[in-house]
Amino acid sequence: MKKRIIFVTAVLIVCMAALFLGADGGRRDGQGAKKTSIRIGLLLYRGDDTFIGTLRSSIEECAKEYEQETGVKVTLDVMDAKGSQNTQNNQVERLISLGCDALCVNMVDRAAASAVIDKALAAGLPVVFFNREPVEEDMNRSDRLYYVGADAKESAVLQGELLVDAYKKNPGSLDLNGDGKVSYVLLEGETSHQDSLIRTEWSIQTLKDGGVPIEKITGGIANWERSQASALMEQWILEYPGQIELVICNNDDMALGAIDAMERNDVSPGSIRLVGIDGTPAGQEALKAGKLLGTVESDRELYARAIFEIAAALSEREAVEYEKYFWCPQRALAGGVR
Amino acid sequence: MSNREKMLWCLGAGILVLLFLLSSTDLIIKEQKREVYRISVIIADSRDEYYVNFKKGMDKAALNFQADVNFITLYAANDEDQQIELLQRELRDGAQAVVLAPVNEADMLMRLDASRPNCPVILLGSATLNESVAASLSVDGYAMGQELGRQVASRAPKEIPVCLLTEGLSFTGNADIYDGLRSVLDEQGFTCRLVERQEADTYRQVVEETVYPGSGRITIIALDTAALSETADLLAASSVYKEHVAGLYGVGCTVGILNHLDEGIVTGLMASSQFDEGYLSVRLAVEAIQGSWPGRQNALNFYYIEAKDLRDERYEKMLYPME
Repeated sequence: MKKRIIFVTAVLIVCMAALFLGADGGRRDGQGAKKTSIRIGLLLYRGDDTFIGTLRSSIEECAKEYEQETGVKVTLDVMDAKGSQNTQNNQVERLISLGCDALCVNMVDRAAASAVIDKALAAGLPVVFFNREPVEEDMNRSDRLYYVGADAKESAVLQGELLVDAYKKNPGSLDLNGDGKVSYVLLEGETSHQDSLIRTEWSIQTLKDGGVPIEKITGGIANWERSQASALMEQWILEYPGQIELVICNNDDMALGAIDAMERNDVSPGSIRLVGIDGTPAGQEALKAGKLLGTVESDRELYARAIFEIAAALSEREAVEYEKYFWCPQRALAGGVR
Repeated sequence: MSNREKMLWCLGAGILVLLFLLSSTDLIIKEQKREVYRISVIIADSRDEYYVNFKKGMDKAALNFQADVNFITLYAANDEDQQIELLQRELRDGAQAVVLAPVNEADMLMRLDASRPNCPVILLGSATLNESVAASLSVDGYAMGQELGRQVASRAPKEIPVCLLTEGLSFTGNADIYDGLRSVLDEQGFTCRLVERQEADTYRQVVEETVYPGSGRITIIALDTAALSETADLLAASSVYKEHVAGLYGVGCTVGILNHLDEGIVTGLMASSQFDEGYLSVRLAVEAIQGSWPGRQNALNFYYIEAKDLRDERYEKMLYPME
């Protein structure tokens, strides 16, 4: 009798296990077949950030090319978190419920990636993070998590080298008042963004290593924003009249903001040198116009292509041709300011 | 083991099975399913930069009406064949309604008649309807053209010729605006010249001609958003051009165009609420799916706006809508 009870219990357990597996197995049906359409969620920390905006356009172009080349329909759901991590978390939930095959996430707060990863992994979705790198522990939680970005140290070193080259060719191009030192102000991005800290540190270090005699007047956090940079620069122009020779900016938007402030205060373009990072279209325009001394451009097309191709391959359950971390190549662009 | 113990074992196992069925399956407790409406929006452009406010309205309506909206741009702007292909693809893929901004309304209506789509189609920018179209949403292009004509006539000097720029009169809505505009300008005695885009720098050539020795100044009216945006950018980039253009008027607005209006590069423009257009288009599509037949022709209001109006609360809400 005892054996019979054990047998009945075992049968019940097997039945329940089969039911569980059956429920899960249904989701896997058809995975072997080639998909005719894929749906990718693209989550942006802030849609009005110039660099992110141009990256988004490039990703959309990649999706169109992919559709034309493969005949696979691509639905790209673009969502703007407007700087709110809570909003982004809700957007992740919405995209999962809409049946996305993969998520491309530009985190608002890189330290909050675990919540996004939890949701995505629970739904069986791969995630391609970009521009804002989650911490390593989060990235190691699954082999279906990828990161695409530009190496912040490389950007900063290129920015620094650009200034070192200019100084070596002609010290007067940076030391405008000829006092033997280059007096600079610093416009930094968000404090919570790893790139901001690294760009600042290595740009200054490269200048020092290159033998440029620098002296910091002041610095401020402008959160990557043109308007905030403009307000800070305006304040410094009034506070340190004729003293600022160089403005080192963590990105192009902030450099453009500083230029706006200079123009508003009738400071001639040649009297203060500015350098940025990103090589945005607006930044490159300023470079051509001689308002910007230099910027560092990452290969935006390759950047966007990597994000899209990883997401598409994961959506179609094909082999991904990229490493877990993809670092986009960069190059320095020097302008004609003399 | 006693019978009582056996019963308890069986009861325990039964409770486990019941709990599993309750919590993890639909067999006992049916989860209420909320239907999500699949709507595709196909525009006539290859980029969405003229649709920023439209998309805000569309997204708002998607949340309110539980719609899953797929916003689709063409591979090449104003490519009719591609638009038809995409329309057919969306129908094949199970879209429950399609919102369509046709490249050419007349051609699209003929093609829709021939293909008889199996779901409601909402047309944007077109007031024309037939059996294949559930509803339309547009401004009255002729009336808008007339209003713009009246505003130009009251401001621009008659002796200065007027140049009308457009991406093409065959594109949806442009011919109506043109007719309305001409009806007023001709009556007022203005000399008008129509220029349709032929190549990439058509508009630049028109502005460049004014700089040649012996050429006089011109007033420019752009009949569509693309023409207005490009011409404003051209004038903004050159102080020489600005001296030779007596005024730049047009139809449509983007953040870039509004900045140019604020800077005085654009003199005045006709605009309607793109947010409302996006919101209403999705609402009409949902209503059509639900079978509550929407009003067939839906008109949007239009307004003439100058730089001084940008801070007016009424226009500010329309031009810079919050999400």
